[in-house]
Order: sequence, then C-alpha cells, then structure tokens
Amino acid sequence: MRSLRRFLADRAALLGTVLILLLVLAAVLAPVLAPYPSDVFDFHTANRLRPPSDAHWLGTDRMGSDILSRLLFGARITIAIAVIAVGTAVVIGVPIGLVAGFYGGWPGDILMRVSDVFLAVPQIVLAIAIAQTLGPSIENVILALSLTYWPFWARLVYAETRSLKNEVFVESAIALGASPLRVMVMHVLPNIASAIIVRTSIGMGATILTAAALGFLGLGAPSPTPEWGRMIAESREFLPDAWWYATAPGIAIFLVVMGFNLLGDGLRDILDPRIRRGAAGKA
Amino acid sequence: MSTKALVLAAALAAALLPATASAQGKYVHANNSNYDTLDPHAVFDVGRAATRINMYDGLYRWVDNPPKQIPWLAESHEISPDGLTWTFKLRKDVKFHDGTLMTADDVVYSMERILAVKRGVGGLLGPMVAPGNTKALDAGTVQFKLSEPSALFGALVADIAVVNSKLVKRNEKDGDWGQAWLAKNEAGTGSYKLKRYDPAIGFIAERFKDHFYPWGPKYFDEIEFRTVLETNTRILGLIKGDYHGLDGYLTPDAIDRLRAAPGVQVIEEESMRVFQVSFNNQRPPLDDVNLRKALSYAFDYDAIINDIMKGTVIRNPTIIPNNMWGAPKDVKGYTYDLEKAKEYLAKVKQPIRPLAMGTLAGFSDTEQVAAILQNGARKIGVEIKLESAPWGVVSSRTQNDDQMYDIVGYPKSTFYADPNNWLGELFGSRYIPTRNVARYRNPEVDKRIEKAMLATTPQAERQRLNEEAARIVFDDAPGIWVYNTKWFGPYSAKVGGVRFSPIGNGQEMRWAYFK
Repeated sequence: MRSLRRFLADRAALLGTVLILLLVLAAVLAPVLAPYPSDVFDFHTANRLRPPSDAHWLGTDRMGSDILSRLLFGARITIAIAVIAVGTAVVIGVPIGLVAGFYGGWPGDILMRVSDVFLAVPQIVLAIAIAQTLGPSIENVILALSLTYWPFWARLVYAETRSLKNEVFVESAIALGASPLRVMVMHVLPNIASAIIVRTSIGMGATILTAAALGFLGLGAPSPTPEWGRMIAESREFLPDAWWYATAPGIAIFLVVMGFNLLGDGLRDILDPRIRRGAAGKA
Repeated sequence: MSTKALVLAAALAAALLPATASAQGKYVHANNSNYDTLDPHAVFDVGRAATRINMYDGLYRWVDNPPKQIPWLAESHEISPDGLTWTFKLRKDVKFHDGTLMTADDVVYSMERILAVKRGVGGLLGPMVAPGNTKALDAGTVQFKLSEPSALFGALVADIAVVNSKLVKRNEKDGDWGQAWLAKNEAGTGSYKLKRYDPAIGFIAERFKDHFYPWGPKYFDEIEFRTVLETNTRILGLIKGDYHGLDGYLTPDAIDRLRAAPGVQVIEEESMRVFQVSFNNQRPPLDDVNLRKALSYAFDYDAIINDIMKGTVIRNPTIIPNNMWGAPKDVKGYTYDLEKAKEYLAKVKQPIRPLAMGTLAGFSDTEQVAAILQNGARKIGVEIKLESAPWGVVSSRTQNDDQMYDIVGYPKSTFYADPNNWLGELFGSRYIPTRNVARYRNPEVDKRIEKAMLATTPQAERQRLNEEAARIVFDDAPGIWVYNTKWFGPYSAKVGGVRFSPIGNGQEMRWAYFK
C-alpha cells in the first residue's frame, strides 16, 4: 500500500500511467471512438489534405481518409508490435542471462559474448538489415526487433544474477539440495523481477520508436496499414503545407514513448529502494 | 511509402558532397532515378537519360517539341528503294573526349556492341539489324543492312550512342564488350565529359570545349546530376537554391508549391506520357482475362485524374496517347464500375492469391495510382501488396521472369514519335521482356503491329493497323491505361535556354545556361 501511495504521489509516473492507459483505451475502443472507422482502408480523394475541422478533428491525409480514425486503429498496431517484440525479447534474454549468470564459466562467457556481438551493432541498423532481407511486413518488424532487443535483458539479468549468486539465501538453498532450476526460478528470479519490469517498461518506449522508424523507412507494414511511422513517411511530401498530417502521428508517438519512459522511472522508484529520484529523502 | 536504406545512403551521399552553387556556371540537377550504370547501351529510359544525351552523341539528335531530328554525328543519309539499306555520311571533325577522331569504325563497333549486349536500345534494334550487317564503307560512311524495311529504324538512329572503339576495346575483359568498364567510365564524344561518378551519388561532367557542335555564347561549365530519391528534399533543395533543376515527374501538389516559391520557374510543355499499369499476363492468376478486366473496372480513374492530379492530366483510354496518330478515337475506356468488376471476377475459375505490385520510390504518381488500384481491388475482394523500390531496381526486376511483379505501374514516355513507342513496345511479343514487361502475346496483335512497322506499308494503312491492334489489346486488358500527362519542368529562375523535347525530357544541358 505504501508503494502504491508513493507511486500515486509521483506525478510524472502517474502521467505516464495515464498516457499508457489512454493508448490501451484507444486501441481497444478504436471502432467505437473513430469517427470514420472505415477510413482505415477507404479513400475519399475529393476530400484530400483538409485541415482539422469539426468533421475531421485531425484533418485528412493524401487519400482523403480521416487521420484521427487511422491514428486510433494505428494504436493497435503499436501495442501489438511493442508487446510481442518486447515479450519475445524478454523470453529469449532472461533465461540466457539467468543461465549464464548462475553457472558462469565458459558457457556463460559464450552466451555473453554472443549478446555482446549483438549489442556492438547499432540496433536500428541491424533491424533494418533483417527487415529488408525478409521483406516489409509487421511480422518481420516484430521479428527484427525481438532479435535485436534480447541482449539488453540478457545483460541485465546476467549482472543481477551474478551478484545474487553469492547471497546467503541462495547459498543456503543450494546447500539444502535445491536443484539449479529451482534456485534460479524460485530464488533468483523473484529478486531480480523488479529490474526486469523497469527495463521492460522503458524498452517498450524504445521499441515503439524503433518500429516507427522502420515504418518510416518503408520496412514496416505495407500501405495502407495505419502504422504511425508510415503515416509520417507519407506525410513528409506535403510538409509544411499540410502540417496536421505529420503532426498528429508525431505527437502520438511522442506521448506514448514518453508515457512508457515515465512509467519505467516511476516503477524503478518504487521497486528499487537503492535508487530514488528526488523524493528519496521524504520516503 | 518509399525508400528503404537507399534513401539513407543517398542522403548521406548528398551530405558528403560540397555545398553546391559555389562553382561559377555549375548546374545541379536532382534526379529521382539512381544512375546505377553509365553504359549508354545498357539503359534506355527517360529517368537515366542524362548520361546518354550529355556525354554521348547519336547519329541524329531529337530536339524541340513536337520532337524533330537534326543531323548530329551524321550529316545526311540515304535509303535504298526497298527500304533495307541505310547509308549515313558522317561528320569528319568529331573528336572523342580523349582527342581521337571518330570514324565509321566506331559507329560499326557501337552498333555491334548494342546488338551483342542486348540491353537498352538493343531490345528495339535487335530484330531490325542482324550482327555483322553494319559496315564501314570508308572512314566517313557507314551502312546498315536491315533485316526488314522498318519504319522505326530512322527514329532510333538518334539512340545509337557512339563509343570510342579503341578505348573500349582496350578495356574489354573476356569478351564482355567492355561492359564492366563502361558501366563506371565514359568513352563518348558528347557535349560534357565525365569528371566524377559514384553510383550512390550521381555524376559530374565538365564542358567538352572541342565538341563538334558550336557552343552558344552562354553555357554551363559543369553539370551535376545527383540522385535524390526523397521528393521533399528535391523540392526544398530547388526552393533553397541548392539545385537548379528537377525531374518532370512531380505531382500537382508539388508543382503548386514550386509555382508559389520565389526564384523557381515551372516550364509547362505538351507531352506524350501515358500512365500505364502492366499486369504479368503469363503468371497465374493474371493470365485470366476476366481478372484483368475486373481490375480494370475496379480502378477509380476519376479519383486520380480529378482529385489527385487535380485535372492537370486527361484520361487516355488506350495505350496510345490521344494526341498521337493511330489512337482509336471511338474507344471510351474502362470506367470505375464495381458491379462490372465483380461480374468479371465471378468468372475467374482459379484461386486468387495476394498480388504483388511494384511502385517507384520517389515517383509519387506511381505510389498514388497503386494505392487507388489497391483500394478498388480490396472492394471486390482481391488483395494487392505494394512494394516500393528505386527505378533501377524495379526496371531490372521487370526483365527477369521470376522476379517480375504481378503488377507494375509507371508512365510510358516518348522515345520516338510513332504509335509503336507505346502499343508495339508494350504489347508486341518481339519486345518480351525488354519493353513488353506485361509479357503479353497475341498473334492477331503481332500481325498488325509487325505490318504497321514496315516502311513499305502506306501511312493510312499503318494508322488503320495500329487502331485495330489497339482495340484488340483494349479488349484483352493486359494493363490499365490511366492518363496522358503534360510535362512540368521545375527549374531555378536563373536557368535559361532549357530546350525541351519529349524525347529526353529536357535533360540535354548543352543548350541551357544561367541568365
């Protein structure tokens, strides 16, 4: 309860949570909220490039579709990419880090050197290479992101596991005859969960940003999918005259990424008592 | 939409070049096609025409609008009464860029090279002239013996780019006709001489003082054609003064913006450029005429012409431009009619998989036409997936049966003023796959096109044959024909003397200058 109260007192974290809730709400209720749900695919070329008005709150795009409607449906794609890509990265990265950190020795070295190799290549470049080779589609973007993201979790879990391994409660569990798997899952993992959760929240924001970049470069979902990055790519030809066209998806990406980052910071404050921002003294 | 990593490369490349407009008399052109090769015999399109017309010369040259040929490397020619033997008298004062004099041997070598590498203009000349049938009668006379009395040969001599045979021969490797070397180097007589070339950036060429054709009082000392795939970068670059000229492929939205910008002029010319969409007629399911017709009826022509192109273009119901002889005037054209589209779709027996459609990165018109077709097709239950790539990539893919898209759309420009430029090249079986990327084959059409191509056929008959063939092609719907467009050439207001010809689209820079 104390944690919750502290979390609620942290305005930034609260703002982050609200932004993410809004994103989820937009995604779930897109068919209800969107003024023109069919505009995800439908064109009304006679109405193209209209500035924001009562009929179209965020204006219309190059094919005359309502930008607000497309934005709302785009939230679904954004969430899907972020959740699946980060989820996969966690599923790959955490066991690798856990095993490497727990056993150490040469198997641990090999696993960590492999993740070092992945980390050495700039992520976006690697993702572009993968997505380009496999062809543009949402699935391939998710795959590219998962394949490039897992080392972050592997590194984190590895470091945390190594330090926990020498803790008394781990040693006693081993002495009592617990199997390595049991020690890793029942004793180590719960104690590093908070670090993983914080990293995941911040990772979500980074993933959304990278996915939008890939969409912008034409490597994401093919047209006419209302993917936010793609919407910005399509709009750049009409800048600066049709300013609303790029602004709407741009602000959407900005708010969502900021939301995840603020939430991540807030969670770290609560879950990790060692690091506390500003409010540390008062707590 | 567009681009992929190439845009990054191009942007990076552009950033590495020194700031432009500093050198006195240097013209910088931002082009939306990449110059992947300099070989004048390897490519034959408008997008990459600047290399051929500025650094190389042909026997004649197309200028002005409507296009006419003026004597160039050749002073005159004679045709035998049977139309088979063409004899050209060459100028004697033509120097290559390395100083050697051009002779008939260079013309013979160039012609044999065109026929041997079978790319570019070779696809058109190949069926007309057999290898070994070009002879140098003396240093200043060259003779072509044609396999058929083609009416088109005369229109194509402008595209027999003459290369320095001694220089190219020195750089041949394993009998490759110097293809590897000429892709990156230049061996011409043209008005400009290559200074620097990078396939990722473009090329820079300097004025060739000794060019045989007298220079005017004003000219550019240097020209640079730079690849800039990003449309907005090209537009902003012209407005800012970094570039002095752009491609003539911009959409009305962009043209409106440029017209309103200070220091920019937009030159408007009649042209014959038909926007066409080619189906892959040999690969299922588009080998079925009913599916092709269904898609022809599922395309919203008005949306493109009136809304997106803002009425700057006119509907062209067949592949032959309305303003060209041979276009059947009575054909009304397919209309946007989803009911009819569904009727035809119901007749398709085979399963319909998602179709892949290629669009050209940096050519907004191709992307918007594709989006409209995709939208219409979706309404009748046919899925189309769009893939965007630079023109060089799209062009190579159309040449390969396995890599060819199911659908690809781009404007068909003018290379010579004859209906064959559109109808024959796109739907005559002799041009599969070089120009006939639809891989359309119909003996009834072939018969008429082949006869219409002969110089021995009277003009009235040629017109009738073209009209008949165009009607048959229309009924088979091997593609969609959308509109005929004007050319809007955006240039800096400082540039004067732009000599536009629909053939080459105003990219020959020797006539232009800074005011």
